Amino acid sequence: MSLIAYFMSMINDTTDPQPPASFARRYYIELGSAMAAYGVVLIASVSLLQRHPDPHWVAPIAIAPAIPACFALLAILRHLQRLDELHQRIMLDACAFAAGSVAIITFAYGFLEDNAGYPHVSLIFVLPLTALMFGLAAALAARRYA
Amino acid sequence: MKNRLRVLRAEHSLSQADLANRLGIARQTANALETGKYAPSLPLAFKIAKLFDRPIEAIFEPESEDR
Repeated sequence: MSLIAYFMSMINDTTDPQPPASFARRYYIELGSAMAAYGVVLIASVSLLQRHPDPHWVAPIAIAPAIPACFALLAILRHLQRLDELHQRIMLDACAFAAGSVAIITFAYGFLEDNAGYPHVSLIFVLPLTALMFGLAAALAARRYA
Repeated sequence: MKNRLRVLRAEHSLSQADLANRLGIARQTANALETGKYAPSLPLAFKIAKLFDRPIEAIFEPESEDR
């Protein structure tokens, strides 16, 4: 519970909106640190799993890279809180498009997998697909106001 | 939403970047406001009104008076 409270306090950054230049650096540091930690934990996780650890440890080791990924998510959420209202609007539009399009794509592929014999695709591809859709939608949404 | 931001900014000798800094918004947002591509929230509209010392209705005007 205290971990959840800590995460919530990190998200609820009540800093007043500032000019973008003053907080962009903070965002890159937070996100860069989280991604660097992710890279280190991922390499450690894969190398440990290749050594066939005790079965009780397989799941915790396999899921370990998700922990620094959570910090990357927090960095993104904190950055969104600091954006001005137009950029928050653009991000909201992009989030809605990404969530909706990924939901429909995975739903449709589920039918193909179950009923048309298409090969099984790992759930690990949902995150990169969401990021791709979010990026495309954010670029398109930003063009509307350029 | 039509507005007089460009005129007011020129009267106060402010660049778009200056305006953005004073309002705590991105320069792209200042540009979108000025060109009427984005209508500000009420708090931002009040902030703009305070910056230029004008009532909101002297700065912003709806495209049509249709009700």
